[in-house]
Amino acid sequence: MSRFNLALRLLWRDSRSGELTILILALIIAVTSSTAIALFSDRLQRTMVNQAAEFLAADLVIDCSAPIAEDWLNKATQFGLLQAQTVDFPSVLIEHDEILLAAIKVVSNRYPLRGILKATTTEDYTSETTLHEGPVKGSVWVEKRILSALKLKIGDSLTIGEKPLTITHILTYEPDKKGNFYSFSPRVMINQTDLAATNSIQPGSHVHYFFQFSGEPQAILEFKQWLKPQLNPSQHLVDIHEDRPELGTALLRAERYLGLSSILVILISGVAIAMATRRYTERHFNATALLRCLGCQQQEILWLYSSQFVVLGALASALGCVLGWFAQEVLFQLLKDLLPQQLVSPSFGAVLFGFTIGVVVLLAFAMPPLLRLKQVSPLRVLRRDLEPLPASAWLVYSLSIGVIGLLILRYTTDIKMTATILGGG
Amino acid sequence: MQTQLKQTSNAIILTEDLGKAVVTSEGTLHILSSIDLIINSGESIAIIGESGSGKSTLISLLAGLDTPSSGSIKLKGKSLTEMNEDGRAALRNELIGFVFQSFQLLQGLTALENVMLPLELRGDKHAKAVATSLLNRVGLAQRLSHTPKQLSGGEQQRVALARAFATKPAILFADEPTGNLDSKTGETIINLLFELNRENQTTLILVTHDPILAARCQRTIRIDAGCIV
Repeated sequence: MSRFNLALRLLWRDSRSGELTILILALIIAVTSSTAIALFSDRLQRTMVNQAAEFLAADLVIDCSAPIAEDWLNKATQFGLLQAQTVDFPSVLIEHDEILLAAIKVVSNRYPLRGILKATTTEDYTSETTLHEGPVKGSVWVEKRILSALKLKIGDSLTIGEKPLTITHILTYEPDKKGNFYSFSPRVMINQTDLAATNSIQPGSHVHYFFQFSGEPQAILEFKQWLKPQLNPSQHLVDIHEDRPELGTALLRAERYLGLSSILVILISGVAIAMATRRYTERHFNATALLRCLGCQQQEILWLYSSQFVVLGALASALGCVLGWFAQEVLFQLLKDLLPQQLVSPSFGAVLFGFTIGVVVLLAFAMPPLLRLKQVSPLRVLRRDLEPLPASAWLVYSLSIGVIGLLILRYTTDIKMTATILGGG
Repeated sequence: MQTQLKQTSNAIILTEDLGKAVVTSEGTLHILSSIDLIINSGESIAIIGESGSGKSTLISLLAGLDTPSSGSIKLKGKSLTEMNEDGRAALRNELIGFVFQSFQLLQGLTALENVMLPLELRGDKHAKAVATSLLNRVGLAQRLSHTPKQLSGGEQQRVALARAFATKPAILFADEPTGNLDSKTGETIINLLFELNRENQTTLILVTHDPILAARCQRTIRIDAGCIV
């Protein structure tokens, strides 16, 4: 019989006798709380990021005054990113002897990559609908101000530059509307395929090109890293953290707050695990002395108990993950009035994170007391008063502070703040 | 001289000038001094003496549970004093069985599992069959799945006897095996111990206060104030 099988049998026997109940409960509570918070913060954070991305209508945008190289678009395709383009420029509209300066927005297919458009086909807004694509070729969407200022109605023709287009919708919401000077001008939105026919863009025209990309966070990050060194001074790369600093900072703070609050739970759970393991090891001094007496070597003792703890940790963590999943669902239900209605689905990554935290915290907090078992003298079978030396304070503190420090660093990504929190604690 | 040589060649335990001393706040305390012993294979030895005379210390040294302050110990020709703790553990697993006054059964395990334990530590694939047979031999065939709490003191000591003989040890150390039992149960256990000892040709080292029990052994060693008298 292998040593691992023996460890499993001893684990089964211990659990059957109730020896492990407190430890298992402490572990499940630790993993449940850390998984629930990981899932809760991950879902909330991704929901917030998604909502924030709607302000850009994409995950990443290149803002420039001239079209970018075709190679860059090909590279984005290689990274598996979806693409859309918009072109913004001001234009004077003349209809029924009325003149109006409008902000023209030319959109490609797939626009918007993030978020939605809202438009209506009736002037009293009763038929407002949510749309995921802009106007089709030959049509134009306008803000209601355009209709009243130029004495137009839905179905009429509106000439943009040299191209007459049919008004099909009144635009009521666009996700990436900028807060600049031209936002005071009413919006006109047309399809990219009509741009050339308008003949509006001439040398010297004040035009902004926005090349938008969306996709997996890792692909976006890699594309961004590839792109950055190639940008010239007139080309700006924008994402939610750079384009809207106030929103980016709020997100960062929310991430840190939720992360640090989960560390507090993990720390409390860790202390519970350490206490439960200490009790477990003290109750196993006699059994360990007997095993030593029967010929078990020190490393075998350590392996026997640590492998039991790894199996125990994996099982309790798996159960904790399931309970954590339900706990975060309950949490979202309780807070549904305060949180965004459209939440993203829980991610497997967050569950895996909760599971890993469970096993790592178990080993970090349980290992020092567990190491005492290795030191149990076989002579204890005759002299019960022989206690193994306590685990060294250096080991206990360095393991627990190390794990907590890594977690704080993971959430804050700030060495100075990590040192401050650890120093203050 | 020839007798001495014959005894030495057949010796399973050999000690020379064995001593154990501990340093206390009041100075060095000599628990055992100048113990020279030759115990032959298959012999049964009783170690007797007053409480605190050093009996338990002597068997802890002979079994490799503790290390001496001076002198040497050889078990089956292997020097215990030159081994580290893991070496001594390996030797215990190979050569030694134990029976304790307080039974020392693992509370979470059944009678069968307790007996299987030393065999499992050896990696014996037939642990269950061997343990079942031994429990049958000590009269506990119907108690295999009972935990120590469900067994009487006498039954627990039977389980301990089965565990001690499970690995067919060359040497069995029994420390006051009847100390926690009433006289009738104690007698039954001792009869069983000697029967098993005879069947397995085991060298028995028995620590006891009881002169009647000691008399059942082939030889008696009396310890007083840490010395053989």
